Amino acid sequence: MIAIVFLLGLLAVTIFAAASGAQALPIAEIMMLVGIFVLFFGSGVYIAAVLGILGVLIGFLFSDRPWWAFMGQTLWAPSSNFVLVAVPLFLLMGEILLRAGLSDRLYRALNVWLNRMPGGLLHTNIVSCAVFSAISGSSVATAATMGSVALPYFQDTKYSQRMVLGSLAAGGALGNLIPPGITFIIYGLITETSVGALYIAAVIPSLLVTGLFILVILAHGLKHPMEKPAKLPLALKLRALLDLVPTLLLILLVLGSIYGGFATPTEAAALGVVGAAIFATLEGKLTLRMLNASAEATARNTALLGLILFGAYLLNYILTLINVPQALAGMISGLPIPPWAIMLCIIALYVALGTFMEGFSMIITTVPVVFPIVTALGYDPIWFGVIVTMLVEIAQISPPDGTVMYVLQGMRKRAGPITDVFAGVMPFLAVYLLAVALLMIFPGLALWLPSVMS
Amino acid sequence: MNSSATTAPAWLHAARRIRIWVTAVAAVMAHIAGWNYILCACFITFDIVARSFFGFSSKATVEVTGYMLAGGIAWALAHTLARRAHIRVDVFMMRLPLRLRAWLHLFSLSLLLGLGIFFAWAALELVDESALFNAHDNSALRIEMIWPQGIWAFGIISFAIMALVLMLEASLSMLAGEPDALDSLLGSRTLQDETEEALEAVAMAHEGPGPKR
Repeated sequence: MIAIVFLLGLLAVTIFAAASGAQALPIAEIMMLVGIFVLFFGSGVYIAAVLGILGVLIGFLFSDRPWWAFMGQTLWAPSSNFVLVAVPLFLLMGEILLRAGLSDRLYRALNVWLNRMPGGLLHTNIVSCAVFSAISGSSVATAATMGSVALPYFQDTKYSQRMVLGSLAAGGALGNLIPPGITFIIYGLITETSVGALYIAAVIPSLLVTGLFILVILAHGLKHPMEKPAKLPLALKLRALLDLVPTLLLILLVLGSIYGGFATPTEAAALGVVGAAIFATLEGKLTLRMLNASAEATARNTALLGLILFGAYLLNYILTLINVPQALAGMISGLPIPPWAIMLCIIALYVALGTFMEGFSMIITTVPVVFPIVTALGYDPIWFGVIVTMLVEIAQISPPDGTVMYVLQGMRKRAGPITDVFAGVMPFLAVYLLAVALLMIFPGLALWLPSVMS
Repeated sequence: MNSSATTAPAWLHAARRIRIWVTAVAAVMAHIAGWNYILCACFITFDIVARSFFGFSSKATVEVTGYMLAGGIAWALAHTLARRAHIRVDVFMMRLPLRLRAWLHLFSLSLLLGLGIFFAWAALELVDESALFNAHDNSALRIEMIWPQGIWAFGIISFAIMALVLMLEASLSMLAGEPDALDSLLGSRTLQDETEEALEAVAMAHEGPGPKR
């Protein structure tokens, strides 16, 4: 509810600002279009259809050119874009790893090293999620995989259920921020920024968020001290490291080839698929049935993104044709408000949208319009890409509509209300927002590494 | 047009049979799309290996894999619709009474159908244009654009057909006074469905022969 009130407020301010700008804007038509947009959205129309139909309406209302003649090309261009090829490949890699059981070894190995810190196993949750998300591009897959491995460890322990679920959800929400994430590919495609540079820029912010999560757990662990498990001999600990080898090899293969400049993100994704398949073969999990299930899930998830991209490209083509993003960017950067205040508004907009909208649709719907404003304000496109990705991740763990949390809720052995997950995730949500704030104050956190490496 | 209660189920059965048939075809197409991505990964990997170790490359990877992606997206659109996986914002809608919800499903689907037909038309126009100008791409293979674009357009047309068939069954369900059947046909996948699917995938990791040691 708060989200809706906020959105309407923002809309009112924008219209007021536009009206007082003394320019002859077709306010009535704009209001009508906004009305249609809100109505469609509220009545559950497919997001792709909302965007597409809106584009068609605007085209007929405001343009006298035969815009429809270019529609085929407008839809074909993103469909056959080599950058976008990385999306199904990373999805496929994640689906294969999800079914190959890589996560068990990872969790067991990390546990041996981390279980004596205050907060114990909870650290393993965060770190194993962080490591797993470095190879998987999907937050839901990360949460599902790590949840299925981790939850049995907590059975019949004194750990707070809330913290257990909260830390897993939060760890799952690292999935898209830690490279290689799919959000960066979509963002790079829409804004024509380098996906490789985005991956490099995301390194320090992901370390920052992971570090803050660990601090949350340390604080919790110090406040609720628990008995430490017995100290393990070093030889055993070293042997546990062996279990990390396949994971580390995959990370080296995918990220190493990108950062080392040997491969584009798309090529790295292809290597990742082959690497994941080899790993699954070694584990004895590679079957035709498993590959078939992975293929179907990949096809479905790619098509779902593709349809929204179609709608968004249609709308964006027509908006650009009649100069809307440029005009909007010019108008907003001309407002007597400091850029950081507008940026705060944009961030608040994303957080509000995130309470009821799913991450990808949020990016595809908003970035084409928001991005020109951001660049007109003088912000760096790479920096904004990292911010947007963090906001999408925050959306994943912001109640009431967070996929990651429902995945975990579905995996609980001991029944309990979903509010347990909500309450548990709150401290992590707070530090995630803190990280966004830090990134706003110190943009160098994202931009320093790309500038050094280029 | 007097739709008496006795004749309605017969139409409905016919519509349902058509839908089941189209859904089956769409599922096969989606699986082809999925395996096409596996092939795509192998192709790119082969190209990298060949380039780094043997000093040759297909010189058409970027184009060909782009076409594979376009085909993959288009061919899985219909199946994704049948599986109710296309994204809609339905948090508000799910709170409405069943009858109203059923009408909204019909409304949403009709908009999607309209857009699907428009997309299909646009795709066909593009193929037509490519055929007219005998367009080739710039890769070493000089592929004729009508092939990848034709395959792509076929997928989008199948999507429009799927939407049409669903629309037919949904409207007839409404006429026959079965809004609940319509709701289960079109209602978007709940988070529960999504969660179950993720869990199913995880379960797959815990079965089978297990690690060889």
